[in-house]
Amino acid sequence: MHNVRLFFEKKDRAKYISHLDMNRCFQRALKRSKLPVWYTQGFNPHMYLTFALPLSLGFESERESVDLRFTEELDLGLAAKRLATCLPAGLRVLELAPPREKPAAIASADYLVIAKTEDPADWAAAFERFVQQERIITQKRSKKKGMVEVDLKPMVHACKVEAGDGEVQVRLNLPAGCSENVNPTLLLDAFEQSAGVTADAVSVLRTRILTADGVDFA
Amino acid sequence: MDSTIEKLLLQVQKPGRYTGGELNAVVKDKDKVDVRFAFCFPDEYQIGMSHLGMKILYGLLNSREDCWCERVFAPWTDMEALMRENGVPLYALESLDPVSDFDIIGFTLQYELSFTNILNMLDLAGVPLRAKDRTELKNLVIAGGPCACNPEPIADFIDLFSLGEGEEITHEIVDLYKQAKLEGWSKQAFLEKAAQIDGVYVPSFYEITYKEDGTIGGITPTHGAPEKVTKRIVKDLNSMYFPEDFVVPFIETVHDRIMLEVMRGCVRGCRFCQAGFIYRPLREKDSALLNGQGVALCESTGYEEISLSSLSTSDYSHLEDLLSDMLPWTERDKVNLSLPSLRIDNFSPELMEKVAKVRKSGLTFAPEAGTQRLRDVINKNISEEEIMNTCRTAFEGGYTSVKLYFMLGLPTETLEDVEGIAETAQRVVDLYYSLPNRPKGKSVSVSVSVSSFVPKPFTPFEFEPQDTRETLRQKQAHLLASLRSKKISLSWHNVNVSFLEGVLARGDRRLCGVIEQAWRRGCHFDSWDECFKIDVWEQVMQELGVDPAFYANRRRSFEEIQPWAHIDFGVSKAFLIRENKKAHEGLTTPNCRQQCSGCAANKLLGGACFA
Repeated sequence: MHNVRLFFEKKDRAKYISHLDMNRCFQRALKRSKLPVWYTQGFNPHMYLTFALPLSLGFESERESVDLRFTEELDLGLAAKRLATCLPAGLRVLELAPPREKPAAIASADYLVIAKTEDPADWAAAFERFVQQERIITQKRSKKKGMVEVDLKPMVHACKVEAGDGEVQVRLNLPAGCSENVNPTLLLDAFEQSAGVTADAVSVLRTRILTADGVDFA
Repeated sequence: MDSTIEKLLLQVQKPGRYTGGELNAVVKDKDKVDVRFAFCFPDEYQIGMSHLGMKILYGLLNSREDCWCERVFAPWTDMEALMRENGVPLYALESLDPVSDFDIIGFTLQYELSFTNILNMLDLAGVPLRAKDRTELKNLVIAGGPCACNPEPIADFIDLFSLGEGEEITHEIVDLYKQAKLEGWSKQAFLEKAAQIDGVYVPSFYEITYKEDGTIGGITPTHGAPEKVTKRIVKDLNSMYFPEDFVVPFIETVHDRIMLEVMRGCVRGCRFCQAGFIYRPLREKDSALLNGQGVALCESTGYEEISLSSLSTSDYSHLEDLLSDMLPWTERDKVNLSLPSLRIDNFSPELMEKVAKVRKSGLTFAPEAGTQRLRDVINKNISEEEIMNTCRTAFEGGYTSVKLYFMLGLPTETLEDVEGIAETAQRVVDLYYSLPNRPKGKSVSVSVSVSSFVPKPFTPFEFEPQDTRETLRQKQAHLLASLRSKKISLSWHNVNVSFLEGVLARGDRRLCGVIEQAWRRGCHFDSWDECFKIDVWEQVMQELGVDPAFYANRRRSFEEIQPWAHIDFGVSKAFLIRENKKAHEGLTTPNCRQQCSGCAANKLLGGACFA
């Protein structure tokens, strides 16, 4: 049994594949590839697939990962090439490698948020004011306690706002992983509510997944 | 992706069904094809993507270089509302182009309650509903599928119907359309020529007259159209087109698996079953060919399940051979084999062992009626003993849950027959506890599911009155009161739904106005409980002076001209009358393999069914 980590890109129409459907999608792609994937032993054998950090429906990502197991040692370069031909449009294999860290090592993620708006300068200025507040209070749904009040201010590790032509680009670093996770949508919704500003369309791209040391999760 | 569509996607449930881009979806250059074909399934994506016929015709049309076939489904109500609000027309999933850009708009008619969805989809596409209001050749609206056997209730909306199996006739229609388009024919000229293709029915070329009592007086062809249109069949399934790949959806669909069709038609002749008659004659596929197609489809799709489908898979004569071929590689590759539609009387322990090797789930059987008398009336040739033997085999093989399907409202049914359903279920429970080698420490569960019988065209019961809703409700209540064990659970169908289905199934052209009005007042997705509005349907029928009981609850004489009298689906009316009379005498008819009962469907083969 050999653990491997598959890195891939999720873009375009593929961003509408939900997390649950990603699992099925990869199972079928792996089946088509005929790579020797290890199955759980038991009453209902299935492929053992673990996505390190689920991606929200509608987000794109430059680098996602899923862990799986092969029954034998393979040339991972060749295996990646073979798998690349089996994925639907929008999902692109980047690399197949032995895992270095456990998924629990994930601490944060970088996002690029693009807000389409007729008045980029206004939107950018409002957003700057919003993140520079001393506290960014909003409601967050918690599994145990229902809606709870949280302050997002200490969680926005980095934020760079740039107004362009017809759009504003916001680069964010937010906590990610199993101990603390902030979805960019939470921050954007809080902004829209408090500032009363809406964009015509907002897209989110996850650009990097990082460990506590600030290096790429690998 | 188109930004106007994209804007809607994150506001709706399951956007993965509106994006296209699935594996094996076919994308072509629209400027390099002569005919663009929008294959429309008038229900939501998850249902439509489960339909084998659509996969076959999609592959078949796209195998032509001159044609690009795309898929279109009915958007669910949340998406529809946003599309209307934002002026997004109905679009096809491959190109995301509006359906109104297409040459041919084809609908598949799988059940009567999807008729309003056809109107809704045409409207969402911005295409006029009525055939007479579409004057151009472009946007030709065609329809086929089992409900085309009585096309009359939607005759005013459809330009032409393709009757029977589509593998050959669809090519012929597209060929003719291509010629008409390239040579600039008028729509009328095209339809006149098309009406000469065997199996093509152009409803506007038939004049219907009515008698004073409301029944049909006559059906007269015009424009040189044939007096009777006979459905098409594929004589040899082995040389027939079958796709090498299926589009693999992202979201889970109802039947999310490979389907291998082992045969067409059914030898049984259960008198209530429309499929059992309209798909005659029986034709089987070679088992080695099926095995090869199964291997190829697994490779191209990555699916983890194959279902061997047909109307009665245990009647497929080479089933043991096929399973022997398939079991080694499906086990090795961890592909589940499922066999729906098994019959009680030939479910051998050997067969069960083979099925159980792959996966153990619940078992479903359909005794259909609760007493032997009524089972003889409907020609469901199985005995109580066979039901019990099968359940014994299943229980001893480790199964603990059994699902039993029955119908209420069958012709000649009495309350005694209704009690028989409860008694049969009880005997299955008792049987379980009488077995010393039953699964240890587990309790049994028997689910009884009762639907309401709907008389359908081209069956021996096409003359029968459907039970009224009051009668059906009484029978349901009586059945519930007759159940004694907590091990038995009961579910039943909404009688209003069966009633509307009954009206539409044997309706005539005078229902076109009813369907249009019902749709205008918000009826669509009628087969979905949350969307079904019987009060609207009843009100519309009342306002338009249409008596639903005339269609559903009236006994029709053998001499009456049925609305589908000019349509020939193989089985002869003389045969249906013979079978109807035998039903009322409680006499059974042997299956086709035992003895030919002269249904006349063999004329489609040009000889005997079993050479």
